[in-house]
Amino acid sequence: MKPDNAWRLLRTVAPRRALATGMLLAVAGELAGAALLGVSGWFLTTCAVVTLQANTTWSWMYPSGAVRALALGRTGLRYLERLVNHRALLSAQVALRARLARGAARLTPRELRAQRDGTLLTRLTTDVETVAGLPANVCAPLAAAVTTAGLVEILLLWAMPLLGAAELVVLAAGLCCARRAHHRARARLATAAEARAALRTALLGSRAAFNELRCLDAVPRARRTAATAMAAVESAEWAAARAERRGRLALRLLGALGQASVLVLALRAAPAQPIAVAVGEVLLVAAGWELLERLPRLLQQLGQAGDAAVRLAPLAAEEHFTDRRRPADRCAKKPGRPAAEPAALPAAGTTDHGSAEATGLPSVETAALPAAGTTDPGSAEATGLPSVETVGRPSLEVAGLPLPGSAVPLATTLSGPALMLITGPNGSGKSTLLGRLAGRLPAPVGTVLLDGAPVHELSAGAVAEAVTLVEADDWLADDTVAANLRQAAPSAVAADLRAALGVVGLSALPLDTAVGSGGRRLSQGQRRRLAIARAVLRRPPVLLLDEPTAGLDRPTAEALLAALPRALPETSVVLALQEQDAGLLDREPTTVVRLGRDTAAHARGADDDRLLASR
Amino acid sequence: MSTSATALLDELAEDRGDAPVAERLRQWAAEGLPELRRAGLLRGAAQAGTVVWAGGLAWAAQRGLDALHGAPVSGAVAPALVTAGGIALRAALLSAGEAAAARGARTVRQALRTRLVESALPAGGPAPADPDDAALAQAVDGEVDELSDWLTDYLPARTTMLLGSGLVLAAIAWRSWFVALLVLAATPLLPANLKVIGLGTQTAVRAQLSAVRTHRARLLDHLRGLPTLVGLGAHDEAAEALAGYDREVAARTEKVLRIAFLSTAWIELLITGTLAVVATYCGLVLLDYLRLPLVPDHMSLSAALFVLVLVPAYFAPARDLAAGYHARARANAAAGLLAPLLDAPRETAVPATAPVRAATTPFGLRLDAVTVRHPGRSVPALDEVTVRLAPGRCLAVTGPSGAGKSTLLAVAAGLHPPDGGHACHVLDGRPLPADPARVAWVSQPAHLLPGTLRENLLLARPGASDHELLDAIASLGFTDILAAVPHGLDTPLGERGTGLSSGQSQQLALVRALLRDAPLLCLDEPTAHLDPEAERRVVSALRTLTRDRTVLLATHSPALLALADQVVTLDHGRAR
Repeated sequence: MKPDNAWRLLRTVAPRRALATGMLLAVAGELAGAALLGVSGWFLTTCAVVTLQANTTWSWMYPSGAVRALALGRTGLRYLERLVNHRALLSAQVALRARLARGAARLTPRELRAQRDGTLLTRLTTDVETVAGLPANVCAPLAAAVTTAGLVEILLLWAMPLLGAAELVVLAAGLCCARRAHHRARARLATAAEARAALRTALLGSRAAFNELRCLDAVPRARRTAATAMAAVESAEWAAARAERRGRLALRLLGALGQASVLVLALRAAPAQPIAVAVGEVLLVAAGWELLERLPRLLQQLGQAGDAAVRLAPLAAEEHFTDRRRPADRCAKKPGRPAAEPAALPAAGTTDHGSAEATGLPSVETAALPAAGTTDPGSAEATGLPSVETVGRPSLEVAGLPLPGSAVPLATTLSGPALMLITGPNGSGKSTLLGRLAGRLPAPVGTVLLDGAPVHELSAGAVAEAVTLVEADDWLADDTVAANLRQAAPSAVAADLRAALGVVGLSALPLDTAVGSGGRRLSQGQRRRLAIARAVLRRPPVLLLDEPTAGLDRPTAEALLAALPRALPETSVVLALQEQDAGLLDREPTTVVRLGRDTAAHARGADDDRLLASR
Repeated sequence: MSTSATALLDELAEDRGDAPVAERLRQWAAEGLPELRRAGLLRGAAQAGTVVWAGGLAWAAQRGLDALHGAPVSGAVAPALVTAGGIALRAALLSAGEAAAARGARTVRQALRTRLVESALPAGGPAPADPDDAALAQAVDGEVDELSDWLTDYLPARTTMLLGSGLVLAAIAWRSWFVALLVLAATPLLPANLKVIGLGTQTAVRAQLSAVRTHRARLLDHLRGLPTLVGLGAHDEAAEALAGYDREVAARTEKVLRIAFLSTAWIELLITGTLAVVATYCGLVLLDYLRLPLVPDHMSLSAALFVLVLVPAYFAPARDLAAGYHARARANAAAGLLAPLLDAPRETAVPATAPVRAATTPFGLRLDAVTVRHPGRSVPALDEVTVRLAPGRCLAVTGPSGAGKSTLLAVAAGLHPPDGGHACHVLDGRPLPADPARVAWVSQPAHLLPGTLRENLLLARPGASDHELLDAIASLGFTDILAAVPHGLDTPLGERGTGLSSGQSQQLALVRALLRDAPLLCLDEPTAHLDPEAERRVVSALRTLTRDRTVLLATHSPALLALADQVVTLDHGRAR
């Protein structure tokens, strides 16, 4: 069952012809090897018999030529087989990895975050190598061993049915033995794989927290954790190796039985069967058993490949998103659509002012923004008519999105220039709200719509066209400043990049500065601003920033917040800020969302924050 | 093929450069050596089983031939039993040998992994800057395993070959000295060529291994950034770049394999060729066609079969040794990558200083013209900064982002040795080298380990009761954290503190620092993630704490600046 998965996965990345060629060559090579031994034995015995019987008609030239040809043939075939199979292995590996990388992008952010660093790395390296290694490491030797043993068995049955039948019984026993040993080893190996993932996780986690661990004197504890994980890996692998070893021992002992029985039976049948043939048969059987000795290891590798394929399955699912809604071409769809919008929107907009004052709870205020009349959510939707400017411009519509600790849901539309401020105390769910707006966290169905489609159901690529989110500790590639910026704008020239750095006040940072793994060579403020500069280069219609000013000194923070709307005049900017940082803004935001903090809301926010904070 | 040939020549020219690596490998293997040697002996002895098997086979054939003269055929059982006995002997000895080899390899791997973890997480001395995490994980998980084949196959292979092939050769010589001479003549062709081809593999293997490692680092980075990359619409480009690099690595690997397989093919040719020659010679002798001076021209069928089936057995240990040569090349390449990780931060066995409790007098801090350069940056992160801080005082470090505040704290805590100048803690007027054991540290962003919330707090004060923990949490006014998490102190936290918001992690880190009760408190933007109410509570808690502690504080917050007795403003690594 499981090896089937591995085989199916392999088939999608490796051409059938390469696989078949590799197996054929392997079978031919092993057959040549077995035949070399068998023919040599037959040849020697025949020579002795011929001399004994003074038979002068027999020519030694052909058999001895055959021996030489088999010797050369075997060498050549084995070399070719190795080349062909390993080429298949390498190309399968590349193809598989590329496919999985594509597949990983199709996972929803929630699914993606659920996979931990160590696990994901294992998947894309070890697991891929195991599956891609099937043709060279398992398929070819397995096909060769089984085919050779099978052919020897057929030859025996044909030459002497009794002999064949006896050998068949021993062979069957051998296969049973191998199977049992295999099952025993498999259970152990599953444990070993888990232990390995745990070891990586323990190690990487301790490294990340090293400074604090050192000061806490907790490094020995971290070491002990790692040592325990290491011991678990070794003991599980030891148990698996022991099962395999015992399987091989049993097979070898059965091989002894098989060879002895062939020897007795073949020699007893002396008059009917020439002695030379009997010797040849015994040597063929010996060669066959030698090949079968590899079975336990091959089965084990096959099982590992099956496991790896099961683990890879979620990443390899090719049709992950095809059944989901894809946003139609924005320009084509836009004009006719607003009429179909839910009518609740304008109503939600109008209730804001009253409730905010009355309850004192989290509130949504809508202030007029000079020069941005068309973006007022109420008026635009109330008329049901798209203004000229919004045609072809994506809109992010929020309808009835429940806010933590508030009876009043959020309703607003982000389209065109606007500045929305989300504020509230620590842990009140600001990051969660941003994650929902960006479609990275699921919102209650249909409450955040990008051009009419629920944003968390859209493919990440479609959302990326309209919305850019900069998280609190956003990822930076272990590369130069320029390379990080170019992720957002692959074709940007150096001047564009410098301009973007200028917006965030990093003009002094040379473009070729290496940022280090996780951006560790930059200060926290520099990291944060570099991530924002990267987002600025996208010129997104909607830009979501999570605490952009944390770790910045006041003048830098003020300059950053002032420069952003100037640099992105057409963008709806959504800022999540600490309450005390709201004063850094040099102008009145269009919309202010205050998040409250009651216990229930807090818990919910924390629960969802785990997904955002897990890096 | 020409580039491989060049690489081979290069490698041959630098043959001597290999000695230290080989020497180091031997040192690493020393611990498992007795077991490995035993494995070699057992495997060599297993060849005796093969000899018995061959004897039984030849005996049976001879009986069969004699039957043609009219002798009774009933005698087939005894030779068959000898044959089976031979195989069983071989099986038992091989199995014992494999077990011994696995034991030895396990010992060595465990010792190496332990050393790797120790140098990655040094108990004393400076924090390790490099290697990066991917390289470390790769070393512990992948590269140590690269040594396995070398340990189990190559190291015992020499013993196996000497004993095993010696046994077989003696057996062959017993039945036919001429065939023994033949196989002996073929033997010198083996090692010389193996050496050359094995060395060629090594250069390529090393290049390949470092390429693979770079590639894995890229993969890890890519995976970490996946949500961001997807959000930026840049995923396809990044994935394409990765795939391109992947193809390059694959091409390099293919080149390595081509050479590696060539040497295997050579051994195989030698073995099958010798077998063909021996078969032809024995056949001609049996036919009585061979009349050459000095060459024996008489032989029984049993002798002929006996030597024939023993020819592959004679070469088998040499073939294993050949496979071992490749394993050695792989091990050497892995050793080249492992050695810097194992050697670089050789910790200067600092005895783990017990945390100095608050009861002891707080100490002062002296930084003299401290300069720190981060690798790859031309401008120093700290440029001759001098700081004096009297015991029990609070120093705030402020300045624009990127001015070097965090670096200054790390130097003062003894976490980062300065590239120039001195960092000392002053106890009763005596300067001591800065030691993190006397420091409680809160970094940004906060780090939490996998485990429960309680375990994370207990790191700071092992053996503390729940009561003490709750007290500490309450003293900072963070009781609401416990209400917000599902199981209170028993709430499990995932890798890197998952399960908490970043603000909550920061608060826990603060509680932990306070529990630590160390005489120097390093706070790196302690209120960056807190709302004004929490900040007020932290400030009041800090006010109590600073009374008997020396505090180093990096902050922008005016509320915290008010706590400080002294303020240092940093700008581009210089004190203003």
